[in-house]
Amino acid sequence: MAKNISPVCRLPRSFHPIQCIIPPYMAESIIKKGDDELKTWAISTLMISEEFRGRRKAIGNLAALAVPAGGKRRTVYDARNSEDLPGVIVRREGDTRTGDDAVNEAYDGAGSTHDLYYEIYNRNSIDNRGMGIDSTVHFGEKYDNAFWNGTQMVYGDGDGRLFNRFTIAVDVIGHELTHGVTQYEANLVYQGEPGALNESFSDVFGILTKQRFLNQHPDESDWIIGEGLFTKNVKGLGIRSMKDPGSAYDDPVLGKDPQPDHYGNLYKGSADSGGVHINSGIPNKAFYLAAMEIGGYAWDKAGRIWYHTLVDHLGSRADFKRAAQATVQAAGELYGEKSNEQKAVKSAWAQVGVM
Amino acid sequence: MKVLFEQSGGFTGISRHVSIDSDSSSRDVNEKLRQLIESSRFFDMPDRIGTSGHPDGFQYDIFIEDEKRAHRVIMNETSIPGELKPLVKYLLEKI
Repeated sequence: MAKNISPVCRLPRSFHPIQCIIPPYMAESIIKKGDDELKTWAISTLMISEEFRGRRKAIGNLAALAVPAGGKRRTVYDARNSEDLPGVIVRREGDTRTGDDAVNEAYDGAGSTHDLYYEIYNRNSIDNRGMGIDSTVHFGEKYDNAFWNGTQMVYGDGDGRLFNRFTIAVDVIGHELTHGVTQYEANLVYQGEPGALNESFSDVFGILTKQRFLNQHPDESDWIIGEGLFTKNVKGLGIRSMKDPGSAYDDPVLGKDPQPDHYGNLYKGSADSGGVHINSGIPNKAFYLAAMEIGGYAWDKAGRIWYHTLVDHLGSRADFKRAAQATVQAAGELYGEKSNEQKAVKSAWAQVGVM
Repeated sequence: MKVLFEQSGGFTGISRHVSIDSDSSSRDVNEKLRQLIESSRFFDMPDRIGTSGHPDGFQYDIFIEDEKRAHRVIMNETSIPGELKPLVKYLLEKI
């Protein structure tokens, strides 16, 4: 088969493989049907060059073909305390652990989150088409944050005085990766109530990643998001409590956890894009209540209802009421109208004042 | 002159702020602030710069009032205009 490839493609380095004379359909065929050596060549010329960062979209589909469905393609980068993304590659899929905790945590946490989505909900990575999962660690200097930038996850080291590194909690990683999933699904606008829902879905699948990792039933979980992020200098259990919003921390420097646990106490100010991390307490509690009432592992039924809501039943501008109705609808479709599961969902939203 | 600065949002959603009043600040601080505000053309900036930015990014809210006027600008960490960056950096150090 190698003989049929134009000699232009065998030129090393100086020539750009993606402009190779092989048209995409042929490369695709090689990756699917070629012998191992050819397959390796085709993949390596398309994939490994960092130059391809800018051309990911063109080769995304081809690369996904090279990995069995549900297989992971994780890459971890080091920004070396700059704000340039993605940074330098420090760990690829299949590479052994490095000496850097942040790198290993980002790698492992992305794996746990991917596995939750694939093994439980049959979702093939962030875009459901096997897209590579990229993380950058050591972003910025003493950066007290982690975020999803539209294509990858990014983690800071924390300042060391109040915050530890942001990869330290697996639910933070699950939270960030889920922003990617939401982007490809309901694409909830990051403002006001839709934004708080966006945040809540991230906390939900973040906590489910942690619970699954620890093999915890709902009554065994602490339902705390970001446990371990605070240093010992801060008075708090973690960043948010899904079980009891508003109780996660109360510290002289950082203040008190501002989350409401009822729609009657909705935050209506302008901070935080209209309180997306504040009002998420309300749908978070609804999920906690539904999971506790339904029973079994939370990712099994409650998580499934929430997943199908996110994927099939929500528009980008959904408010809490619309989301509540959508979860009830999803519960009915999955477990039957008037089922115990559906009743639990309705009751949960009523308890937080949305229905 | 009064300066109110708030960083909100981010993964933690924890708001941090600082308020600087020229009456109770040192001459150095006042001097530095006036210089930064002047060179940033703060009072000419729009009220909102950019939308909410990417999920879990920080939001910055600056309110400045001097003898003649008052103005407020809200932006996110990816939409800070180049001219405003030195002022934002300075205020972040004061938090």
